Amino acid sequence: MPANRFNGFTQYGVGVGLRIPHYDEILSRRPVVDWFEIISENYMVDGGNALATLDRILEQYRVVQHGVSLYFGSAQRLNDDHLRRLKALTRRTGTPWVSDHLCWGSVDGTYSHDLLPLPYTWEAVERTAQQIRHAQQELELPILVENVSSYAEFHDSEMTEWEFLNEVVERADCGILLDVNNIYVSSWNHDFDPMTYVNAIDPARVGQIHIAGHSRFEKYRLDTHDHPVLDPVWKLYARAIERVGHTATLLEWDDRIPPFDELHSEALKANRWLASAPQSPIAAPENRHAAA
Amino acid sequence: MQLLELQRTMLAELRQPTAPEDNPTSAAYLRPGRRLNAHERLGIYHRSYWARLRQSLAEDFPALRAVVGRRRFAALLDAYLIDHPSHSWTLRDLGQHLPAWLEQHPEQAGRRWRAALDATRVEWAYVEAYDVAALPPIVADFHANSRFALQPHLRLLALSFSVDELLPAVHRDGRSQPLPRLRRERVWLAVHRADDLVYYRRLDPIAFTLLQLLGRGLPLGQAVPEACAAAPRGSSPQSTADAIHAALALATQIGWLCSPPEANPA
Ligand SMILES: [Fe+2]
Repeated sequence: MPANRFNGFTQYGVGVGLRIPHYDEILSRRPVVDWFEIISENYMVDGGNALATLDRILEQYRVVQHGVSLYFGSAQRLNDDHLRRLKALTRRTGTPWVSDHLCWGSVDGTYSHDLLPLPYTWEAVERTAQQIRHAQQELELPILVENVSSYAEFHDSEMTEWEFLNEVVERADCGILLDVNNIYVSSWNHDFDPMTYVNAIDPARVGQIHIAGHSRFEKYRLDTHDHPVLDPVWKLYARAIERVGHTATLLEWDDRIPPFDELHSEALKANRWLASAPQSPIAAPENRHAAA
Repeated sequence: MQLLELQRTMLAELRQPTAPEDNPTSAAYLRPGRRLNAHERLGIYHRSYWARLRQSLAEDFPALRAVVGRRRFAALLDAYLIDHPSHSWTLRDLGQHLPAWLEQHPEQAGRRWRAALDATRVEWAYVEAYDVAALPPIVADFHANSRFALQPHLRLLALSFSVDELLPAVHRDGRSQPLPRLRRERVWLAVHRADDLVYYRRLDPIAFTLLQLLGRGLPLGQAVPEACAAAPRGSSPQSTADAIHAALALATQIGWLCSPPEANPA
């Protein structure tokens, strides 16, 4: 399965995040890049340099939209203005799918601008799935929901994170943006085996994969996107590709951003696994109904 | 705990200026981990909440920091964030209430309050001018009944200090060079966008007043006499008339004049 209905039946390879420090170089040198991922919110404006640059990028490259503040897991309804602007941007970019995170981040109209963790409860499953479904209908595009790095666990949780993810995506009938770095960071912070997570997700729903670097502190790991991808994360990536098949893969790098070529060659290391990835139909998930 | 209640509680704790580690009643809904207790776990989110919002404001208001100094600036940001947390999905809007808030809180800026206020107003105008819509400009025939809308990215600011000279310096991050000294002077400033860059342009008081009045929807025949009243004392009628013509020529040339809303068919 390279292509599925969750990534708009596309066959995208290795992409990189479009970041401001690289604008000039990309536009002047036009490097060969399979696709760029943009942070939707940075371009949900009415004019100016960001949009003008995006239009120039779109003349030459394929762009996929990734959001950071739709907050599917918020207990209250999604922001209609946000959805409207997001939809307008999808028309501009022609993105084959839209992704955002399995998290919450605002309440009563106050925004944290963070990807806050959810309690893994049945109430949160229902609520989150319902909001993803709503967004999918409004945007008229497939949605991939991304697992986040987390630093906290709730007393209220009734299942594991991977069980929660599988329940949400099945009820929402949406895809998964599997972030293997986030799995690693959370596994270290919460003492679970990250391979169990990778082995449990429903591979038929994975439409994209994120890889990234993180920071190591004495008592926790932090998802900082300011380092090359670390070995244990590559191992998870290898296993994910083994299970899912050839999948659109993106390297996230948001801080202490290196020169474009350095960043791109780090991303292209993923081809080592993608090149030999199975293209055939995928196997049944191993642990899909563990929460029931 | 219901999801909504949990989210309200957690966000309220993140918004507290005191760290969860110093608040024994916080994080009751979180499980302790093997290496970190519940307060320390919440503390990671607390630090990141404050760091992200402070950083966003620091990026948007470097001239304000230059005016009030680093330490006062940090305290000012925290006080502002307590009163005005983000109510938008984009951090771009975070500083929108800062000019009005600082006007109400002179104690936060110290003795350079007025200069700080000017810096804040210009910096917020920059944020807006950077990415709001641009309308197609019109080449107007000027009649007494002519009405216009101003280009949405044009901001007109009457200032008491030369903060427009400070801005390019702080935006260049010229720490190696000394910042220009602020002078107390009347400045009539236009902040606007051209070719996707934001520019500061000083106007004379007549041009400034004329544009303000046209922006409020007054017809030209009414705006001109009122703008003439802004002429410096002792100006001749001819120099005032020349200033009006120059203002309209400039506004046309830069593309600041657009069709008024009612002229645009729905
Ligand atoms: Fe990610």
